[in-house]
Amino acid sequence: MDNATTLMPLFYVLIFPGFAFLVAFSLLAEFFDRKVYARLQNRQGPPWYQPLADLIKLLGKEDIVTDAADRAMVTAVPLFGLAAVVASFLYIPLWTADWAFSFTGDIVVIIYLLTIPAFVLVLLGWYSPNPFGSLGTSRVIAQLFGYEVPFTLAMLTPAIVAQSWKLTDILRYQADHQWFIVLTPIAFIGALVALIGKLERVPFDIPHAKTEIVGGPMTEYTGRKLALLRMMFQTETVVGAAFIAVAFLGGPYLFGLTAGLEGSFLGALVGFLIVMLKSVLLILILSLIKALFARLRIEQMVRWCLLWLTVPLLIQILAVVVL
Amino acid sequence: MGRITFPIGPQHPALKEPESFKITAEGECVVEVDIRLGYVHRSIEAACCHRNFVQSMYVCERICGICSHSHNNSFARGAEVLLGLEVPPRAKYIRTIVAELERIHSHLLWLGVAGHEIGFETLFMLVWRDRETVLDLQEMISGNRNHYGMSTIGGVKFDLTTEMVDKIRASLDILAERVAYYKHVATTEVTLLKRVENVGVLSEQLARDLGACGPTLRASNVAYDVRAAIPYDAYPDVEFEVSTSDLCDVLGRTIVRVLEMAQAINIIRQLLDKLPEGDIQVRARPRVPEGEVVIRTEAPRGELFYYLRSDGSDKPARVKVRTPTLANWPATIAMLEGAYVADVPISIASIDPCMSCTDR
Amino acid sequence: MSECAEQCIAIVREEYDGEILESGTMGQYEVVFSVPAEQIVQFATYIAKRGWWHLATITGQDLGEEIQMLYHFNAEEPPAVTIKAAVPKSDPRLPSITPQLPAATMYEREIFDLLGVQFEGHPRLERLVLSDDWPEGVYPLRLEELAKQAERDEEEKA
Repeated sequence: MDNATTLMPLFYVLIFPGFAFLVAFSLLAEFFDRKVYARLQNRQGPPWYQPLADLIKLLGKEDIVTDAADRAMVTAVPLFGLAAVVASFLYIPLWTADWAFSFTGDIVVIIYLLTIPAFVLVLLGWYSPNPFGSLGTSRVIAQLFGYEVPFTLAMLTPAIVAQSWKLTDILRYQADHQWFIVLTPIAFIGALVALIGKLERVPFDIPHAKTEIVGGPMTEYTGRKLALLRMMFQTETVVGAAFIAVAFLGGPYLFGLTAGLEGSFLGALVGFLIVMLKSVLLILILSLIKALFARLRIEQMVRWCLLWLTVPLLIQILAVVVL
Repeated sequence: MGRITFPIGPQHPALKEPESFKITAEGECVVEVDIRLGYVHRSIEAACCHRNFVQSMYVCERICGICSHSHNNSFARGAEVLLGLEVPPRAKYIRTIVAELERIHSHLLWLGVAGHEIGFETLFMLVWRDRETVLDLQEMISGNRNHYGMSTIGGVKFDLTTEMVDKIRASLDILAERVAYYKHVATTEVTLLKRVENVGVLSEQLARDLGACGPTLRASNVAYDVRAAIPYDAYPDVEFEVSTSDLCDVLGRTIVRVLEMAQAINIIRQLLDKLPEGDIQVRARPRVPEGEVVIRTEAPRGELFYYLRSDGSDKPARVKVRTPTLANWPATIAMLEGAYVADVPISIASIDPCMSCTDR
Repeated sequence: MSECAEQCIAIVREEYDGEILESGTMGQYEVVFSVPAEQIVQFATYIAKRGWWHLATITGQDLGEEIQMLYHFNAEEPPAVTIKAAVPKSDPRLPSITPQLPAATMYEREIFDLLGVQFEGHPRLERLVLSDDWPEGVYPLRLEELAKQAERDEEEKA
């Protein structure tokens, strides 16, 4: 095996489209999010480098672990969560339907990997002696039941229609027929709302509601560990948005712009930019929702998700299967 | 799930000032609340006994950074009663205008904080921007955004010029529009309603028994407002309604406050129309004759109570201040017990607590 | 003395069957009654039931030989009623009105803290305002403490 083939996977994982790119893009996405949010609130908003500055500041801060906490666990768990999110990004076809990492069942793997951040929070709360942590943990678990079922149902609807558990096949199906946002609009809305729950954003920022339980599971964390946790959520935002963009918004396809460029570098570039554009668009929708709503209570959230997300999604799946 | 006891305060993101609530919860349900005051106790009642009346008046103004005029004005009124002074009508009008402007700014501040407590940051940002309009007016009138030092024993310090009156009118038009908009938001926005409806319920009987006051009491359908019950300053000359609500929850308190802002705008407009000419101050002697007096004022947060006793010297012998927040604590504890943990911050915030007021 | 205040005194004097030491007015709208300290519960409950439902606050003040408690009641309309009850400073104890009128709980605790008055029958007479490490038996609003504070102020100025 020559050098290029051994180094390529490493390049994929660490640089592009892996860790380095993902962090850079998530910082950019965070800037968009914050700026839009600020403008909607009649504020100026931060400069473009603010998310990076925040990250550097947190990385440089003193790293405190309370005596009562399990030091090994507390150090390992945030890394574990970030790694899971970065890993899931690799399985999302970013510019072509001939994605190198694609395999049958990758959609299930992505859903699984995106669940890990919630368990990271559960573990963090569990291993922290803070009462706000315990309350936050119980909320994370309750919220998990609220959004996880709709999210899985919503993401599986395109798979059922395309009759494949492979994300690239779903992409091809959309190229041949129509985007899934048109074919299964309820699933798209369901996926987006469930993603808000996953990302713990307003109106579902219940597990770390700062005016109620301070930081929830993250109350005791500071410095590098908090930076990693924040990065985990930011990258999850990007991965989730890209996931939905590929599964519902036709991924790299837009008005046949990439037609005839299949396989070429230019085609890959245009397709990649289109996916990024769609992800940013989804993140902007999330910002709008953040600015428009108040936080719900945990039991309101779970009831609402089961009633107004799970039930319509089940009906839609039933309709899809029957038709 | 077992019982968890956790503190809200003295340091907590939901509280802007230090006060300690020990909450015992079973899962998401509050079973017991314990309250401890005194974290910002400044012994103002004792400090007043060492200062003369004019100095004490300014010390009392420092009790609260939001409703400072209510304190300042109550003390001045008390001293005037003891001295037997008759305040010129123009001074009374100016006092009332400043008091009502203060009410608008206090209620706007509250609306923003309430939005923040339920995670509705957009409301917070928008409301606080509008609040600047009122603060600018106060700065124009008195030179300060807060702690105006407006009332003095025997009248007011600063007069209103014609330009100021025009400016106030223009700003009131903007505010009236915004208040109408917030009324619309408070009664129709779905997630907001979900967080304030049937939250922090305080029945009419409990509100009466536990001695609640101000908007907290009026939202439990008790039409008690000092401005109407025992009118002072220029209130006998204006027409206004006592805003009440029979909802008995946080939504009711929100509606009452929004209605009061609309009423305050209405009151200021009437006062500006009728503003009499004349002096704004009469001279007061430093020595205050022996006697005691009770002064009740409707501060933005509720009934503010002052008791002054003079022993004939230039220093008050006893100054007792009972702020609206202190009166509302027993009612707040009643609201919290049996509520959801998530509703604790908004229930506490719904009485518009001022910890510095409480502790004095 | 306003008309409503006169009427109020007449009504209370006629209806109430306990002892009223003194009655008068304070300002335009306040009616003042003095009652013996041991009868405060009976009289305060009567006043609250009679229509002055709102207990605004309780003021405590040190008058030298005795500590005077002022219970301020009012209703939607004037007059308001203030009840005075005094206890000797050497043995400052009187019955608590909290079991009957729960609105008094915070006010009685505050007076207990600052003036050292024992309210007998209060469900929870604990520190409210003063810090936990405040010395026992020092009551900051008593005259001797106020005098000490004044001395300290003078020293600081000098």
